[in-house]
Amino acid sequence: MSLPIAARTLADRRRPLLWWVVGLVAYAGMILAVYPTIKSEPGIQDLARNYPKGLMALFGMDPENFDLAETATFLNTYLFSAIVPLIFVILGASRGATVVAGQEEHGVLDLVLSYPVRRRDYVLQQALEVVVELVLVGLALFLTVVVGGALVGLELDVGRLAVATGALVLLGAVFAGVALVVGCVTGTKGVADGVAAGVGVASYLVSSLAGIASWLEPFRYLSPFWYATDGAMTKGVPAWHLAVLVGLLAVLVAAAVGLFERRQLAG
Amino acid sequence: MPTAIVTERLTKSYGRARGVVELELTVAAGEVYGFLGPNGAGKTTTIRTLLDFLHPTSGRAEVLGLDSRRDSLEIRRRVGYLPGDLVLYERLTGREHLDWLASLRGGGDATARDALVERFQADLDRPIRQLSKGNRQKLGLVQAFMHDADLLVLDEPTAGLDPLMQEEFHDLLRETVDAGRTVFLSSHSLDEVQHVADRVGIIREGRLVAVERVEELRERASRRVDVRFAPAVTPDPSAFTGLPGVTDVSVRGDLVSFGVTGSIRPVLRVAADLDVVDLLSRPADLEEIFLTYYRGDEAADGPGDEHGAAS
Repeated sequence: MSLPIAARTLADRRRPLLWWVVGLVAYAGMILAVYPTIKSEPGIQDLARNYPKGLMALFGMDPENFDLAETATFLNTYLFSAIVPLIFVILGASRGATVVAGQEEHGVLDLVLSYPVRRRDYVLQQALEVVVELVLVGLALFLTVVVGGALVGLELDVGRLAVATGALVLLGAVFAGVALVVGCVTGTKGVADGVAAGVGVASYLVSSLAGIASWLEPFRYLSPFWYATDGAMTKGVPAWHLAVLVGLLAVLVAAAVGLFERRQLAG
Repeated sequence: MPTAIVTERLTKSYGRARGVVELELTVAAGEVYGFLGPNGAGKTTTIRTLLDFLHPTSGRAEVLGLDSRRDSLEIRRRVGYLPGDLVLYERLTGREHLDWLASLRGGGDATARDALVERFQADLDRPIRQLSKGNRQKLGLVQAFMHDADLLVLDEPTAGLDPLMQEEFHDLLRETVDAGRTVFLSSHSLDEVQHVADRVGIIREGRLVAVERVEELRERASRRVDVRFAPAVTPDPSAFTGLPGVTDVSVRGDLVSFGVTGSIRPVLRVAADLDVVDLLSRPADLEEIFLTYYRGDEAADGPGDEHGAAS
């Protein structure tokens, strides 16, 4: 099976993708590099323990049960609850917005879709390309934590790490799906990107603040962020969370296909 | 004769005035059809509807006997298209781009492509972002013609081409229709298409205002004739006024000028008996006829009024 559209897009993305990987690896590497310091300096932990609860929640810390020297808590706090998941969200949203709406705005779709290419195939191949990008970035993160973790003496559950990273890939893909849907409706990259990233950040806030604001708690079930990151390294991401994310992604992509097939192309 | 394109009361409305209104277009298989109109008249809207980028508000279109909505994939399999506003992947070289486009049709034979590339002297080795408008347009033409399309839909195909390449392009059109294929091309200038089109349809403000055979147009078009008299003679315009086909007689110095429609014989006969030193007949200016349609002159108003503009 040949996928000329996905292959073309991916080939075009080699360079920017490399920079995403470099940035993420550098960030994760720096976080891992401070682990020995945190472990040996109880003062840092005491400082963290005195953070306001809201701040702790934003970084995925559990105020009641919190030991940064413990590998799982450390990774949860610094890699799997805020910045890194948001990086996946932002990459996904931006790519989901670009691969259809961005191409349409650019004007090249007029030529491509004058060829015998089904709109459905176009959207599916582009969605696949975005997932591949997210997987590559996820793989880079996974390898960085495995290798870097070994260097700084983390006691790592590699299986759990793999699942947690996979969940981040799915998280990015879900917001790519949101951007695809908005892009397939509006044909405007900026709107698609903005809406998807905005919903992504909102879902992050709901997920992290639900821990301290009890009225928010029921809403965390609406937050893809919660499904992907809640206790990712401490408890592990349960299979049904992954299933929810996969299902959501499937629904979003199907919606994008349906909407794009019915749409007229901007000229 | 089978038809390549038929539209039935095809209407595409936008919020604003743009669009097309009850377009009845018939393009026969094997002809070159020039679709003429000023910018914004609805040419591109029509073309994009044929390719299912736009959906008709009402009416319908058939391309190669297939429904423009339902059978779009099959239509696009058999059509070669050059967009009016050609956008390519800037980072690819011409070769990479053409290869990739070919792969969208399942790849295949590159001989037709190579022949076209040579013909247009298209630059395949440089990244497209380094190419001039004309060189991009060549790639656009190559991609439209490189598979054996039954119908070529070309939106302003000669934009940016130098005269030599335009000539080459005209030859290519002839060969294309000689091979039994059909060409539907849009332009805002009759000059561009009068040597290649069999028929032209003129669209203004979304309505088809006339469909003409180019030959007939040429016969009906008005020639400008200047008659120069010997220096000693006072030019007498009255000798020409009233001759069949003669209009707009005027005198300037020793020169009498007028327009002639149809045969020039009556004029020659009269001139032969006068003290004339020179007679200059300039070719029919078809463009002038089209401008009357474009401007929406009274005489040209309404479809079916075939002889309005020439009278």
